Amino acid sequence: MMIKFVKGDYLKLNLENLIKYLSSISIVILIAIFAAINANFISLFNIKNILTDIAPLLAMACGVTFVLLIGSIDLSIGSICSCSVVLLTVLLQKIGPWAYLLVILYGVFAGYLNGFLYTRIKVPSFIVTLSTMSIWQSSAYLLSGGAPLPMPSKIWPLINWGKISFGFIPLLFIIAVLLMAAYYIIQSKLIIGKTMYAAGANERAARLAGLNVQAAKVAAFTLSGLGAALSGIIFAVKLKSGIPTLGEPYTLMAIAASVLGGTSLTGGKGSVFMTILGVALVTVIQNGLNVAAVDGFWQQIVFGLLVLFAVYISADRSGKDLVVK
Amino acid sequence: MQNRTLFKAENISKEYPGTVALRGINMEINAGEVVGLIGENGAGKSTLLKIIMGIEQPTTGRMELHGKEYAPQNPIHANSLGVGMVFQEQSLIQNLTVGQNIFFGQEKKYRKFGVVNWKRMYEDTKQALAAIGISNVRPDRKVSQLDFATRQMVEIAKVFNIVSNASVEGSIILLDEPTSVLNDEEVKQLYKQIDKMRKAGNAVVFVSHRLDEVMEISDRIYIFKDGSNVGIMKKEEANEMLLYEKMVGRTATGEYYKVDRQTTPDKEVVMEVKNLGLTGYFMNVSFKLHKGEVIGICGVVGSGKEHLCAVICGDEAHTAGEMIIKGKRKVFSDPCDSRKSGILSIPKERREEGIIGSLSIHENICLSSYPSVKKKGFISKKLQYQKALEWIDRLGIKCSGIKERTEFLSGGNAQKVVFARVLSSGADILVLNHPTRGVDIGAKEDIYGIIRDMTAAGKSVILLGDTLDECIGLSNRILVMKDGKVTKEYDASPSNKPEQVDIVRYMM
Amino acid sequence: MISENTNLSIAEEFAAKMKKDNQKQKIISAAPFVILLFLVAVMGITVKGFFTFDNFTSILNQLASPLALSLGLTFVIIMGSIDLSVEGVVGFVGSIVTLMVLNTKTDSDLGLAGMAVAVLAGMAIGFITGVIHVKSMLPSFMVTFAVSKIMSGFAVLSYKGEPAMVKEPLFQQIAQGSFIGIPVLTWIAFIIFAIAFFLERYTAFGRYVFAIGDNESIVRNTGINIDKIKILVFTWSGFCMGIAGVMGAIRIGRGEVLIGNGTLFPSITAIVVGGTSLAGGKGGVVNTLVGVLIVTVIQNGLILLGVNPYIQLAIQGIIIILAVSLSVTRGKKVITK
Repeated sequence: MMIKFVKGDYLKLNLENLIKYLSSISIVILIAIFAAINANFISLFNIKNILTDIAPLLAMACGVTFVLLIGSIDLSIGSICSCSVVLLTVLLQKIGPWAYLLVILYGVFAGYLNGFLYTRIKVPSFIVTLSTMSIWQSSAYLLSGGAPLPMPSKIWPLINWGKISFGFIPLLFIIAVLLMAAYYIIQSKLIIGKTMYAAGANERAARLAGLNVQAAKVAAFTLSGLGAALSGIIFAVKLKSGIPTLGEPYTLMAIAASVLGGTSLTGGKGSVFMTILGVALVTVIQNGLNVAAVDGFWQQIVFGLLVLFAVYISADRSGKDLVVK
Repeated sequence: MQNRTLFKAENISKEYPGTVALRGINMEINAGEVVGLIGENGAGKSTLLKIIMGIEQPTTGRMELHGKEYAPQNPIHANSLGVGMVFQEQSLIQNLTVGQNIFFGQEKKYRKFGVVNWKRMYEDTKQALAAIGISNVRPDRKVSQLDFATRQMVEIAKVFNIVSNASVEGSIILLDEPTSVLNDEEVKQLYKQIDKMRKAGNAVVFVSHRLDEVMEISDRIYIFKDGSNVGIMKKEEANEMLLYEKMVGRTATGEYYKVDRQTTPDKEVVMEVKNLGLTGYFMNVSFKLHKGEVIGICGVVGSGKEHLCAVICGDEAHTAGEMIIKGKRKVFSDPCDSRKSGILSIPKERREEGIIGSLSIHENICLSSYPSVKKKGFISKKLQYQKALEWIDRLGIKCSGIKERTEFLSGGNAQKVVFARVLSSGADILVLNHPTRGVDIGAKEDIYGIIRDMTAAGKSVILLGDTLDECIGLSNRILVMKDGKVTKEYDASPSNKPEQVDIVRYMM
Repeated sequence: MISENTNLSIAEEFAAKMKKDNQKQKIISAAPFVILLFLVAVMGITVKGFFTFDNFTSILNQLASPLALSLGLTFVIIMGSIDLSVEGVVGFVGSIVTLMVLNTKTDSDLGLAGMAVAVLAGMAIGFITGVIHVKSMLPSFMVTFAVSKIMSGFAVLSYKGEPAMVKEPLFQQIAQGSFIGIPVLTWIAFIIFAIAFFLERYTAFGRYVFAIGDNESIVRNTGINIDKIKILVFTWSGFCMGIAGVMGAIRIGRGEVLIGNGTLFPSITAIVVGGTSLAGGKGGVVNTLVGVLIVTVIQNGLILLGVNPYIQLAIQGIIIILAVSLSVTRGKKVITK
């Protein structure tokens, strides 16, 4: 059975693929630059560091990719992450390893809540997630009493598995990759994933075609919440501490990573597979800046500009009567 | 009544890829005159109005305004030369007052040191309203608080104000279906406004499907059919029958619509609606749809047929009556629900609602039938490709490959993709909303063949035809709608097709 | 489902439906005022210490900064956009103003001029934000979200981790001064309100903002320069953020990025609760004033009741969702993202 190969199959150097190439090339260039500044950058130890840093961001970014696919935004992922970190720290002491399951369920619930509110009240997603962001941030503060919660030594056996690594590949990284793989299957092989793409590209047409757009939207937010919770778990295990503000700067980074991986802000385009490219780029930048001893606040400025730039070159401005709010 | 010619159109034609909307139109509009413009859907009336307003540019031909060359680049340009249009969709800003809307964009006249003198504007507003005979609307009321008819009046006052200030010699006001949401009282008021404008030396073009109104208010009536002007009638000469006959002309041959392949429907009833209604759009619609049957619904814009369509395919939930699908009572609030009952639609706006342009052909074809391309619970690319290739073959879709983005296909081929999607979905009640709109002749014939195949295979169709002809040719039965109600039901078996003239009478 | 088919035509049914919608709208628009009165009454009865002179002064003090901010955001929201750059810009302005007046870190002593420059900086940032949004055609939430992060970075950069302590006497005077019982800072907010009111009701600009929010395509057809209006609106928003930033620095007597923290939420809550629609085209500065009063009274009550400040944050989130869900009237065909 012959499948006709068409023009579209070949690696066209058009605007869409430009971002993907840009990200890949940038990573290589940046690694070269940072390695030149400090040879430690490409040591096995640092690679392990980078992969450990990539893990939580990958989980979060893969999750938020779904929300971006349907053309919405999730500003609450950082807070869900923070709340998960604190929740895990507290629960590990109370119910042992079952804490992991509970935190995952929390992530699913938080994401589902976002999706539920978004589909019931016809209000822009940034408002819904802005609100839930405050609710979860507040919960994180309350649970931790406002200050970072240390993890007492008696629960260390429950988190020591986080140190396991296979050569220079940490287990935490593998877990994040497994999540990405699972999300990839959802995105490409399940109807709900296909529905997300369709709804993001043209919601009206997807709806009229009989696809369950509402369910896809709820699913997208639920998966985002789950990703954020998982990232919180990875953070908590990595840092051995329940810091209630941990997730806050990661919201922007996760969105930036997804966009740099080719996900369109307007929906219908993107893939969790490509998101890892964006995550790698963001993490390399962050790690490199750390190794080069650049101040923390510069990182924020850099990421803000990066997001604007990435979003700008990937935006589709072809519509003549486009109304942008 | 002066006989000064304000406007002339010479040999205006407008072509779009695949269709010709206007052919060699000649028209004259004189000062103090009301010119009526009638014709079926798709006859070219809206296109001509758009050209006169500068929204579209003619492919060939020229226009003259006040004796000078007239080629408006956009509506603002047309306005500045004294030509204005009152659209069907209103252009008033809800939270602004009547006066603020009428003088929107002209605040400079009333501004001093940045402060706008609303009081002075409202004085002028009263005059602008009086110019078309309105005296009981307060200029400082928010538009959102006015009822529809009053909003319409404000809209007319606004347009009139702009054009009469722009032109000293007499302006032209185009009214596109101004009476569709007015009751009898309000229509009479509208006539008074038109009269006032005309007596001041301006001209009004009145486009409407309500022939009685057109005949009452117009001095001359242009009749359009299939993009051409088929007649100009003076008020004294006009009567309904004559107008109808001109409007519909001769019927196309039955061969074109493959009437010989028209099947007799089963006795089995797949769908029944009883007293179905949607508040404000249609009411008391009842009919039974049989297996293998095509029911065509005819009506002008605003007759309610579009909303009936929307209710049947699940886009909107009905507010009155019952819908019974295969024996079960259903209320659909989402097309996802109606899909489960076996109902799918081919939407009217192909590019915006029918296909997802940025997705490939094979994704579009499988969009409504994902469960069928699954292997062991997961969607299989291979099965998707197989299905797409099969349908490209079957329907003769011309493309460079199944992975091509659907937005690059021509109208006819894109529509075939939509058909492929719907047909491969297993749905057995199909709502076809203008299925051949903007499609070339060759593809149209193919589509008629597809529809015949569908009914032969036992599928049932609700059809909103692109033209009256098409509706008559393809349907087993025809429902005619006007102002939200079914006015007549026709049997349309191959030997007994009704005449267009008859149907039109119940449409208008 | 059988309707009373007493209407003769669909035109009449349609008119009846519109009338019903209009009536519902009227009720919704009166709601904020009623809620405010109700709230004050309930608080007065249940919360100890609410109806005291001191507490009222406290409320007036608390509402100064949110009011100034919300007045800026109101125009952005009426236009149908959003400005999430509040926290970053306010933090930035608050930080740099302390470096320009008499302080412990730098040698400048620009006094009032320094304060004016800081406010102008806020305006400039707003202007640039508007330009980026308009020229790049990126959604406002994205642009302003990024600007917020960028500006808080610059804020920290300006004082390099060590906040400047203010020694300028004017700051103390303003912070503690009052005129006929109302604190000076609140007077400033009221002046901003007067300006905003004027802009909304008495200028063409105000009308255009509503029009763009209601239906941008219609406005496009009238030849009005929409880009210019949008940039002006973001500039106004930046101006208000500048004012709020300086107010914040005056309040705490030093300049740090935290001045901006927690300012975004109360402003949006206030605007939404006051009845301005997030979809645009509806609402106004008077609505915002009522909304700010409601939010401040609630906050005040919660503080008096000794409620955990973290819970207050969550409560605000819940209030926004409630307020927005009650005010949504759009039909099914509109797609929100």
